[in-house]
Parts: sequence; structure tokens; C-alpha cells
Amino acid sequence: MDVGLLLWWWMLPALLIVGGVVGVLAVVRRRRAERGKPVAHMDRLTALPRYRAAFARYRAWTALGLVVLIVGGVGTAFIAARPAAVNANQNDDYKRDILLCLDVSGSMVDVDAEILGVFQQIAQGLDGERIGMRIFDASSVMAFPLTSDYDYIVEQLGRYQRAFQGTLGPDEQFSYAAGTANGNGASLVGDGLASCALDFADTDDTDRPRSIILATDNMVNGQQIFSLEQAGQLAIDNDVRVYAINPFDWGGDPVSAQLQNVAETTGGAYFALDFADTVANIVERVNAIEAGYIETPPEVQIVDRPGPLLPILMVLVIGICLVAWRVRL
Amino acid sequence: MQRRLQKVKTKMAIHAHRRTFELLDGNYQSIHHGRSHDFDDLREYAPGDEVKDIDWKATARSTTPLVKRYIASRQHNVIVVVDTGRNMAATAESGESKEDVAIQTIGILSYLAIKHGDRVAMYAGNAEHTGFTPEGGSEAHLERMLRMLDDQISLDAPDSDLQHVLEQVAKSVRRRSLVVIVADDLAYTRELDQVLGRLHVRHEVLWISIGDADLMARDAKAPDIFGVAGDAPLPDYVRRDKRLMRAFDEGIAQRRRTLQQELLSLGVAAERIPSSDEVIPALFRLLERHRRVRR
Repeated sequence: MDVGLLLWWWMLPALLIVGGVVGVLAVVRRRRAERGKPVAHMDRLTALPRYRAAFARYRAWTALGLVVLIVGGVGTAFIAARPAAVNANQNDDYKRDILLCLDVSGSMVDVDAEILGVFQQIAQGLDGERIGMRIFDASSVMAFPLTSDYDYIVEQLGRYQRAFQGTLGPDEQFSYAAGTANGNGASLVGDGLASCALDFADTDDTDRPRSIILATDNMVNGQQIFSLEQAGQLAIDNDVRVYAINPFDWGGDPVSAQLQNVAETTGGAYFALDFADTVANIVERVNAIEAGYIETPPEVQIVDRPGPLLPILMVLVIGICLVAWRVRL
Repeated sequence: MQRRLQKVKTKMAIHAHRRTFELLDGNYQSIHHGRSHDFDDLREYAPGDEVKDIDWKATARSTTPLVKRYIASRQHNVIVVVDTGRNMAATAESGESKEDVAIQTIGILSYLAIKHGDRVAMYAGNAEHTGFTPEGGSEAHLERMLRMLDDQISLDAPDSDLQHVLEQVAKSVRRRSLVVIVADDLAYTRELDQVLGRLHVRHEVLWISIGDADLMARDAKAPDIFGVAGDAPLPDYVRRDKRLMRAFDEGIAQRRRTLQQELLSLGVAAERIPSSDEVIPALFRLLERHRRVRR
């Protein structure tokens, strides 16, 4: 989104006028000045055919020099006018914090694997964004904290994905469920979301947009410390938006409605995963919504863009010197 | 006030060797075919004198051959014809002003003539105006002549037109005279040949070319030049062209050769003077040559 412009556009006409005046003055002065010694009978030389040939060569050289000089002068004036580009770009500052908050109760594992697959692809193209991951069932476990080490993220996401899918290699000793069962019940979504929201409580970078991708069916089974609404309030307190993905939305059931309500209260959104939608699409829509929360104003950058003019001018100056030397001005 | 003449005398004093005194002896040939019988004096024989002028009796008494001198052989009417156009204000081959060389030449020649008892007149002209100075034989007259030349010759003077001046001389001078033409490295034209032929029929004609400056730049210190005739400026690039330099040298050599040959075929003695140091030797050569050209 570059807009070309001349920063000091007035330099262009000013220098061209000055150059023109200097040129005219030089010609006039040269005409007027009779420098050196007076000599008679110039026809001794000018009548020679070889003189006419030499003079024609001289004319050609000076014409060439003049053309180079004019082109160089216009180029110099153009550079003096500072050709610049105005750049109103904000993509470079799109640096979010994303926390994947995954319900790893038995019913959700397939959806989780799918989300991890999508995020592995996304993570490879990221720059500056931080991704963290927390899984929960009866209790929540930090899989990995917010980080921008994308190799590590991809590695961890892959490991969890394989674990969720049950395709772990023979030498991988890993159980994703370790530590998620220390509580009373299963799929304690309120506690899970609360611990995810509190992960942001300690980070100081308040100007980075924060979001939680919460994958759950909201089928709470047991006694949770935080209700889903309280957890939502924690998210609001920490400026976190919650994007909920629910694979089991039967349409109008109270748990789905509750999840949708909480997600939308935090400023996020709610997505029912059905046949019409894929996880990839949903993540894309989340990104689109998040883009609207970038709080840094579009930064207008003005960059001087002399382009290839400077080397060209250098060549022209060398050319002028060569021609001047050749015709011994 | 006789500054210009003083310069001429100084120059001659510097060159006061045998040749100059010989010149002062008036050792140039009579312009008259016939002889007056007003016997004047005797002098030593010099090569070129006619044998019948030898005074045999006096020679017999002396150890060297002596010739008789007659009044008529000493009374010459010298007419200096000089270009006072802008060309004469230009630079000579030596780098001096051609004007200085010309004035020096005319001054020495006229001074010799006056000392010899001759009378000097002058036609000094350019394309617009030709001034005639009637003949005179005094140093004051000579000084006046030289001063007039000095005043007239300048870079602001009208164009040179020696052809025109010569035609006026050919038209108006009836009395047989020694016509000394002071020109420069001009091109020899058919018109010039015609008017010189007409002059030569009636007068003795001597030709002096004041050498013009080199137009090429042969070394780094060569000065800038500009043409006095309002010519387009000569770019350095052209002046330093080696092949053009050779062509130029051939051209001017050819031009001088042509002038020399054409004048010689008319019976006009000619000499080229490139600098004021060359004036006296060149004049001596010129007079010597004049004595020897066909009579």
C-alpha cells in the first residue's frame, strides 16, 4: 500500500529554474567573453576539410555531454525533491497472545486433535505472536506457556495431537491425561477457563490483544470451584476474549446457550462445530475478529525512495567527467 | 616625445653590427633605370653593383674596387603600404602583437631610408578608411607616421582589406617609387596577383609578411585564442587534435609557399618576419634579395 510522492516537490521546479538560469548565463558569458590572445586569419585553419570533421566531432561530443548534463540535472532535481513512499501498514504489528484452552475429556479429544493440527499450520507462518496451551479435565495442566518459539510450539502441538489421536510413536512415553484428573468430577469447564484466564493475570504486556480458544462441550460433571460465568468474569477482568468451539451443539440446549453467552460476554464469539464448518474456518474467523482489536493505530511511515536514481546519477556524473575530459572543456 | 622612433633606434643600436651599417650605407639598388650625372661620391664595390659603375681610375689608386655614386641613385621615394585593420592588432607568431612587429619593421626601414636621404610616404588603410601620409624626410615625420599607425591599429579597428588599399595605391601613385607592402599571412588570391602586377609595372615592390600566430594548441601552456574577425571560438578539443595539427602545418606551409612563389614570379622580393627580433636580419635579407631579383 505504497503511495509515491515528492516530499519537497518545490525543489524540482526551483532547481530546474536555477539550472536553466545558470545554463543560459554560462552560454551568454561564453559568447561575450573573448578570452586569450587575438589571432588573425582563422581561415588558415577553418578552411581545412579536416577542421570541419574535427569540429563536427567536437559538436557531437558536446551535444552528448549536454544531454547527459541535462538528464543528470533533472535527475538530481528529482532526487533533491525527495521521492518518498507513504506506508500505512499495520500488519507488522499484529502481535497477539493466544492461549489454547482444551477440554480433554473423552468426548473432546478428536476436536482437540483437529484444532492442534490447524494451529500447527498457523504457527509455522507466525511472527511475533505468542501461543500457549492449557488442557483441563477435572484439573487443568499447563501444556506449555505463552511463547513465540514456534519450533517448540509446533513440536508440542504435534506431540499432543498424536497423543490425542493415539498415534504416538513406540519410543514416546507420554500421557496427555497426566495431571488432569486431580479433582472431583470431569470436564470442569469453569475451573479450566478460570485457570486459562488467570494465565494472563501475570503478564504485563497489556497492549497485546489477548484471546483464549476454548474447545469444550460444556458438559460439566462434578463440583467445580468457578462457575463458567465467574470464569468469564475473570477473562473480562484480564482483558481476554474467549472464543468457544463447541462440537456438540444440539441447538438450543442450555449448556450450549450458557457457553455462547459467556463467550460473547467477554467480547469473543461462539462457534458450533457442525458439518457446515471446519475447525480451520473457525480459526480463520477468530483471526478476522481479533484483527479488529489491534489497538495500535495504523502507522503512517514516510520512507525516502530514491530507487535506482542514485547509482544512475553516479554513472551520469562519471559520464559528464569523461566527456568533459574528452573535449578538454 | 619621439618614443616610437627611440625604440626603433634602440633596436638598431642593439643590432649595431656590420650588416646594419651596411644597410645604413644605403646598399640597395637604384630604382631608376637611367642615371643622373650628378656625381656624388665613391664607395666600395659590393656584389651586385653594375660593372660599368666602377670608377676604374679611382680603383687603380686604391686597393679595392670603387664604384661611383650618383645623386639620382640615392633619391628614392619609399611608399609604405600597411594594413591597419583589426588583423594587424592580432598576435604575431612570436606571441608579440603584430602591430609592434609591424611598427618596428616600418620604423627601421623608414629610418634607414631617411638616413639615406630618401623620402617616405605611407598608405595605411583598412576596409573602411585609407589614410595617406605625404612623403617626408625628417625624424619628426617618421615619428608622426608611427604614432598614427599605433593609434589606428586596434582590436576595435575595422576589418582588414589590404586588397582595397593596394588598389588605391595603384590608382593614385604616379611617381615611380619603392613600394613596401607590410601584410601578414594572408591567402594569395587572383585579385591580389592582379593588383600587385599593376603596381609592379610602375614601381619597385617589396613584400613583408608579419607572421601570424599559431592556431593550434601544441602544449599544455598554449594560451586561449579568439579570432579578431568575429570568428566562432576555436574549441580546445579541435586545437589539440593531432591529425588536424599536421593538416594545419601543411596548410600554412602551402600558403607561404604559394605566396613566395607567386611574388617571386612577379619579381617581388618577399620576406616573412615572425618576431621583432627578426626584423633587422629579415630586412637585410629582403633588401639583399631585392637587389638580386630580376631587373
